[in-house]
Amino acid sequence: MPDISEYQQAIQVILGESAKYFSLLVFAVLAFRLWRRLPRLDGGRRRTGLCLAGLVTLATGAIGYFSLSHSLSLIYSHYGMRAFRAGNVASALVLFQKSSGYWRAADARGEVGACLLLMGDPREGLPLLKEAKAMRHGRSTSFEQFYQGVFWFFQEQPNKAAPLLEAATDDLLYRWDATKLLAAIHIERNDPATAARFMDPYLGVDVKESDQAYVMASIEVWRGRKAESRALLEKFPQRDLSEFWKPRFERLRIQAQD
Amino acid sequence: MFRNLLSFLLRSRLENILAAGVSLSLLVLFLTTRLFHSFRFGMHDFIFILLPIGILGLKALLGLLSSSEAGTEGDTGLGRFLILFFQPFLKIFRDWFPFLLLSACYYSLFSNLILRVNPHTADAVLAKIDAWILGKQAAFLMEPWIHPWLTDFLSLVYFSFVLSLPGVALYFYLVKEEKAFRRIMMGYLTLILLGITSYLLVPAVGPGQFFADRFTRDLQGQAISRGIGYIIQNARVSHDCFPSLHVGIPLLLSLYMRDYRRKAFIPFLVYVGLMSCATLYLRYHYFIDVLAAFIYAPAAYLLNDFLLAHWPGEQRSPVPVEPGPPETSMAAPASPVCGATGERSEP
Repeated sequence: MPDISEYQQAIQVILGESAKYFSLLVFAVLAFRLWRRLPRLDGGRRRTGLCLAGLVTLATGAIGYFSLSHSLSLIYSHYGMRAFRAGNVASALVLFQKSSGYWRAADARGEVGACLLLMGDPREGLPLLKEAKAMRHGRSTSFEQFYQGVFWFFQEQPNKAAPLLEAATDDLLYRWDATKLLAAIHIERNDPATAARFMDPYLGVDVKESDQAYVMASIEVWRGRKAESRALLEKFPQRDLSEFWKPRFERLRIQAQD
Repeated sequence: MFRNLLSFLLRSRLENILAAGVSLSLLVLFLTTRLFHSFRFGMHDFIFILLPIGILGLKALLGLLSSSEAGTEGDTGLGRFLILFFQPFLKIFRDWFPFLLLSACYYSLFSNLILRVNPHTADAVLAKIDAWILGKQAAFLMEPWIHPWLTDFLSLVYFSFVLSLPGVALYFYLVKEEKAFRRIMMGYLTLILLGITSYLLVPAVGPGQFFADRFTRDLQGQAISRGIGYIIQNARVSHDCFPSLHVGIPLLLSLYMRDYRRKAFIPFLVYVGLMSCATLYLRYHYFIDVLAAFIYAPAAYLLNDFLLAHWPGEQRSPVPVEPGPPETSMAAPASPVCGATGERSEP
């Protein structure tokens, strides 16, 4: 299923770029005609003409410079996001930094911040995310909310993670992952009923990831179906789990045995 | 003061008044209701109107770059020079912007109000009418003919719709038949307004979605169909079935071709026929939607001519008769208001 937001973004980019470069062309042609007209002027009119031609040329240069910088920033940001989605966070960070260097946009700052968070550098990442939010007058993108939420979740700070993940569920792209983590938070809070409600629409989804397995197995235990819970947990041997999930699965295995 | 304002309004072009009126109403609606919080800018078909504007802008730029005004350039004052420089762009803006604004307003209004005016979709009723007329749904009747190349070809025909109106409007603008251009654009906007009113009252998703689980064959489109399908799926306005404007707009254009370029009339009718097949084959419309287009398009044609003929601003500024290609002199204007709207008339 194609993503409608990507289509709309593409249209916005095409319209924005066309407007930018068209205005550049208009100013360039105006400057050209003003310079061409100069030799035929005399006295005071020549001085005024010269000033205006210089000003328009400067404006053309400025528009050209900013247009190119903005376009390069968009290109680097696009490739950065592709690298990020392919799992190459380090490459994505470099590309996002380049993008931010060309055009200090809120999105680029937020993207750099999210990459730094995921690479374990919250001291630099969090201020950038705050800066991006401030640049948008208090609004964050789903991308920033989701990865900040993921960061706080794995830092064992569910109170900070929950509102961010909840906000990220508005975006189809992050809904599934954010829902799993939100359900995990409710299980940690001894509220499996809410977790089950969160996971209700996804009961038919094959269990392939450790967070999903943890949530589903916990719900099965809460429902008293320990055999089903054990079957789920057996699919995820302890040695394959990350440090975050190991103690949780261990605890769950004991509960499922009781 | 009020009389002066009224007189000014009545002397203005009809599309300017409509554009100002519709956008102001839209603004008031969104500022005074909760719609303002969830407003979605409808940038659907109207972005294709930007295409000719871009082409005309580039043409004006190239004209400015290549024109040599060696004798006059130095003589004009700076202010006059700047006015002359920006004049072509202002003219393009003046001629096209009202249509662009109206189109954007219609689509925004539609995108934001759909299913608020009438929350019940009318697919079942439309399908019932189709069954009564044809005995079965048109999309099912066409299933035996499904073939990959036919799907690709009809997808191309279906997609060409977005370029047909801007292309025709651009052509008339470029050959400086300004009245024909304005009449076509106004006719288009009248038809869109009728269509959108109908969509709001009779919302339907179309047989492709309504009967999604009943089709026995996939359309088997190749790369072309898949690409076009992606664009249509994302750019298409939802619940826009009754009537089929994909058929209605080319039909309206063919009526104008009959008035201005009689040689193009038959090819345009063939195009309308292909478009009708495409909408049914690709499962976007019911048969009744296509039939309705044959009522809506002539209605918009007549209503638009009526409005143009009776709007004081159109009558007070008699339109100069413009020279056109030789074939146009053969074209007899079919519209009774051609004289009033300034089109060429039979000698």
